[in-house]
Order: sequence, then structure tokens, then C-alpha cells
Amino acid sequence: MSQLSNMEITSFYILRALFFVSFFAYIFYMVFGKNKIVSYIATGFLSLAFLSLTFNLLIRTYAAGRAPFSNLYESLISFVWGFVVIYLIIEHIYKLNILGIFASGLSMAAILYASVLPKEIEPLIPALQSHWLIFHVLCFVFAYGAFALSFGLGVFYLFLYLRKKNLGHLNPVILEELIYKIIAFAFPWMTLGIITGAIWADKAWGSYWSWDPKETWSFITWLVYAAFLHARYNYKWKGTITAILAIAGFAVVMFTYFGVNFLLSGLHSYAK
Amino acid sequence: MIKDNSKKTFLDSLWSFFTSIKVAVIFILLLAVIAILGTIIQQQMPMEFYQKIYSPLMYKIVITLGLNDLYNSFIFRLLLMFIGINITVCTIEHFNKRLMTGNFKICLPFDAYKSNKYINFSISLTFEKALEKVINYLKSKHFHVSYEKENNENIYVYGEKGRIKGWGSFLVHTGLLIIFLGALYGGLTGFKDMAFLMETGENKYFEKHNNFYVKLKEFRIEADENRRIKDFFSDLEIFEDNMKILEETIEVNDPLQYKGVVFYQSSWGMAGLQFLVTQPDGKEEVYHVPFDETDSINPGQSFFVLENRWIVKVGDFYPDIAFKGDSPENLSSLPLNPAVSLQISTDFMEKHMSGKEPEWKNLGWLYKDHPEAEYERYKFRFDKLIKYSVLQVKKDPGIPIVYFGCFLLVAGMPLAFYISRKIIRICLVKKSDEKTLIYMGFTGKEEEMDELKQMEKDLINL
Repeated sequence: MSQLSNMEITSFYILRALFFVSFFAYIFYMVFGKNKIVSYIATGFLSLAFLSLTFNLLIRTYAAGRAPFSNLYESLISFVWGFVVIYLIIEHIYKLNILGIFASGLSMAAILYASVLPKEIEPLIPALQSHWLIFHVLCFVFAYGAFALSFGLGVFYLFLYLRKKNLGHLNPVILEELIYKIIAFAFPWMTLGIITGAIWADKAWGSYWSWDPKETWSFITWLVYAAFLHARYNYKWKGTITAILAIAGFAVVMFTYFGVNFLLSGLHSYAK
Repeated sequence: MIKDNSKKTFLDSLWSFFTSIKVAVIFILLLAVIAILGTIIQQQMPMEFYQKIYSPLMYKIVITLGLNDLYNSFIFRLLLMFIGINITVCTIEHFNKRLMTGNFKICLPFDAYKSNKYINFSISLTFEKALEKVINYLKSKHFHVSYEKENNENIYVYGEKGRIKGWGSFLVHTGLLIIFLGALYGGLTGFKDMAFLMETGENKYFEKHNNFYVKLKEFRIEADENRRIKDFFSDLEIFEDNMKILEETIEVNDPLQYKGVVFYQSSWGMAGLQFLVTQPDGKEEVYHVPFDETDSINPGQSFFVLENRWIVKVGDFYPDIAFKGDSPENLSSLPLNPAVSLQISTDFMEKHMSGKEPEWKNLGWLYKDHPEAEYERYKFRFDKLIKYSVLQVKKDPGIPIVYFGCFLLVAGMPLAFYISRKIIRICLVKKSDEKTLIYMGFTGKEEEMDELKQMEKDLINL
């Protein structure tokens, strides 16, 4: 077991502090009138947090000599990275600063949880020593990051819908379209993630699909988002029902990611 | 569509049932819910297991519905079949309606251009100049443009981009169907098995379908500097008609393929200890002490009998021994440096009969650097630790079909999701010699009004 370098420990403290500060800056932005300067500060801190997280992942990759996807700690901070990069892009395009409180809050919670997880750099078990690991996990980093954002937007949609009001330039119609765009972005990544996983499983375990709990739950997640994509074609369902499906979809993602590891055993049990 | 229910045959209503998007969504969610059951109820366990953990009623439900082997059950297959039909019917419908016909109509009835999706404005250009300008403008925005003159007063312009998007959904659904078929074909023509091969080479794995067999020559483990497992290997030999055809080493993530049958390194274990005893007259004999089902050896209880009189028992077994001074310690659970301590009793039978404790003499630790001990001119040699290798054996001729389906899925998704299809319809109306009225609108979403306004500005000002 190799010790973590001082640089990695320090950079983790710094990025955790930056996520905290950005979270409070977004709260400040929300509570004390939507000031433009405050919004720039909040986005600035979140971007700094993102950069230090990127740096943290890079030094870990360098120290471990492989991609940082092997245990819960590593995969969790990789997923936060994916979530934040997608949020920052969407915030920039759609001026969604109002959702920053959700984005920085969720990232901060995940980072706080990551900080109590074992962080030692472990060697990969034989079955994971494959280039497919990188493609497989990277696909899910983008997919799950985007799904997390669509979850936030879904909650926001229902909030606006139930109170029958608009927030700034955001109205339910625009939000619905945005939820769709984000899920439509993520769905191909998730599909590719499942397919790369299947090819890899075929090479490593001798079966491209064995209904192991993690596989099954990723398939269930895929089905819920497939239902979302189809439900939009029914004008009565487009809106509320699709927002609920987007929320349910992410709940299933969370179960696939955490619940399966802790509650069900199977071939993916090394991710504990 | 004709809304006359009396003229609908049963087949028609079945067809429209399967093309309904609502039905598709319900099927998809139903499949999700049923798939969850299979992760809650433990799969493919022996019947006694279910009897033990469930009440008699629950047990009956689980067994009758086949929930103990859900993904191979009738219910699950029926649902998959329905979804397969659903996808087939929708794909045919989609192919007919969207890709072959429809949406190519250049002009709509004039009133359609007055709906609230359309904007209208006039520009100070002659009819012909206005048409030229509109066409050039649309082309500069990457639209494919066609137009139709109704009479000398009206011209209808149709612009479209991203038509390929429609093929995306077609490819995705066709890909899914092909994956279904590939899995079905593989399930019908392939097989799956496990092979437990001993390092002794005594047991073989017979492949009945292709008439060859596999033997394990050696099993090896590679550990890192922290004595944790890094990789493991099996040196396999393939025989056909008792002739050695092939010798190959497999490892995790690197299987061996022979005649369409694939052998994967799956797992391994320890099977027993092998001893070589040299008698005073120089005769050698092999003795085995097997491990139990949990791959461990019970110190004090595992033994072999020498010439029907002496008992040699395993005092202790360390898979990975090292000496700190004189005291032995075990460094890991991997058999990197296996060591066994032997004890011998020459009067076990007599003592045991009379209820007394037999006397045991220590032969000490035997391991790689010190494999031999001697007792009363008998030489005891710890020959080797016998390991076994577990291989997953599989033949699945459906795999190329499944991969082709996956390829279509991966190719279709970016088309379906990352390309936006736009259709713009414009009607030019001649007002006077120097003035043309323009109606312009997108087919589809309301929120494209901003874009329309921008286009209006461009057309007037450029």
C-alpha cells in the first residue's frame, strides 16, 4: 500500500475548501438578490474547485500509473469531475446560475463523503487490468454527470410547475427542453458504457451479459431513460411525467452506483 | 388516419396497439420493474434455499412464476417478445411514414401559413428577387431548399436540414432487434460450462461437441511486491485423438479459443499436498493430503498412513512462509512459498486403542529451500502444492450478431440525438411590383420564435 503524496493530500484539502466556498457563494447569490458580480464570484470559485479537482485526479493518475477508476473513492471523485464539467458548460450556455446551488451542493456532499473513504492507491485486481476499464468508466462519468444535472433540473421544473411561475428567463417549457437535451446527450454515452462493459466482460469473464446485479441495474437505469425519451412523444406526458421520470432515473442511477455495492453482491463487488 | 372503428379488423387494432407510444413506455417500465425482481430474489439457487427463506406461499409463487431463474423464465421471455414485436412494428411504421413519405410536401394549404407558428413581414423587393434572396439565405444556413410555384402570385419554399436524424432512430431500433436475435441464436446454438482442472493432469475437460480435451500442465500466480495477487496463469494443453495439438498459456482477460470454444481463466484454488517418501531400500512412493472444500487444510486432522503402520500428519500449513530468526511467520494467503510441518507417530494404533495419547515426533518445516526431512532412514520430501484452475468454457456463435447490433446502436445514437432536424416553410406572396409579403415558420417547436425573428431581420437588412 503506497502512501498518498503530500501534494495529493494538500490538493484534496484545497479542492474541498473551494467546493465549500462556491456552495456558500451560490447560496449568497440566491438569497441576496441575483447580483451579477456575486454570480461571477460563485462560478469563479466552482471553476477553481473544478481545476483543482482536475489537478488532483492528474497527480493521482501519475502516482498510480493508471486511470483513477479503481475503488469507490476514485470513481466518486471522477464522477464529481464529470458532473461539474457538464454543469459549468450548461451554466455558461443557458445562464443557469440559479442551479449552481444544487451543482455545488451535490459536489460538496460527494466530496465530503469521499473524504471519509479509504484513499490508498491499491493495485488493480487482475480482472480490472484492461484498457476497456478507461472507456467503460469514462462513458459513465459523462452519462452519470449529465443525469445528475437533469435530476436537478427535473426537481426545479416541478417546483416551477407546481407554483405556476417563471424564474427569470426560465419557464417550464425551456426547462423541459433542456432536461431533454441533457438526457439526450447522456443516453448515447450510457449506451456506449454498457456496450464497452459487455465487450470487456466477454473478454474477461466469458460472457457479454450475465445478469449480475450491477449489470441488471445499469440496464434498469437505461430502461428508465429510454422510457423518458419515448414518453416525450405523448403531449400529455411531456412535462410533468417526463420530469418525474428524469428524477426517478437519477434515483435509479444512485442505487446502481451505491446501493448495488452495499446491498447486493456480484461480479462488480470490488467497487466497494 | 381514418377514425372509423367499425371498419377496423382485429389485425389493424393489434397493429395500432403495438405502434402506440404509450404501450411502448409501459412495456419498457414493466421490463424495468420485472428486472428488479431478479436482483432482489437470489437467482439459480438450489430449491432448498428458497424453501428455507420463504414462507410456503411465497415459495410457491416464486417457483411457479420461475422467479428463481427470472431471466430465463417464461414471463420474462414473453415480455421481451412483446417488446421485440413493439420495436419491429414501430420500426416498420417509422420507416414507412417518416423516411419514405411525408414531410416532403413542399407546400401546405395556404391557411396553414397563417397559424401562430408563422411570422409574416414584407420586404421591398420584386417577387423574383425576393425568391432568390430567400433561397440564397437558406442555403447559407445549410438548408436543402426546394420550391414550387402555385401561380404567379404565390411561391412555396421548403427548407430542410438534418434529415439523417430520422435514420438514427431507425438504426438504433434495428440494432436492438439484431441484439435480441443474436442473443436468441447464441442461446440456442451455444453452451456454457465450467472446467475444474488439477495440476496433476489427472483430470481432463472433454469437449463433447468437437471431440477434443484439455489438460492443465501448470497453474501459476504472479504477485506484486506487497505479496498481493497481480495475475494468474494456466498452461493448457489441447489434445485431439490423444495427440497434443496445442499448448497455450491463458490469463485473466486473455482467453484461449479453439474450434469456436473459448476457455477463460476464471478462478483457482489449492487442492492438496504431494509428498514423496523414499524408503530405506530406495523405493519411492507418492502420498497425497487433500484440502477440504473450503480450500484449506485442517492442521492436526489431515494425515497419510505410511505402510499401514505409521501416521504422518500435517502439524501446520503456511501458504507463504518466511523465517524471522527461528520463528516462522505467514506473509500472505497466496501460495508463494508453501510450507508444511509434519509430525509422525509410530505407535498411534496401540496408544489409540488403549485410550492413551500417542506420541508425536516433529519432522520440522518443509518448504522450497528445505524440502526434505529424515526419520529412521525414511526420507520425506514435500514435493509440491497441487493447485487447481477453474475455467469458464463457452461457445456462443451469436456473438458476431450481437456485436453487429451494438455497432448499429452506437452508430445510430449520435444521429438520433446529436443532430437536430429542422424544416422551414416559407410562402412568398406578390404584393406589388416592389413589395413581397413573406410567411415563414418552422415545423415543430414554439421556442424557435427567436430564431425566426433573427431570420426576419437578416432578410430585411442584408
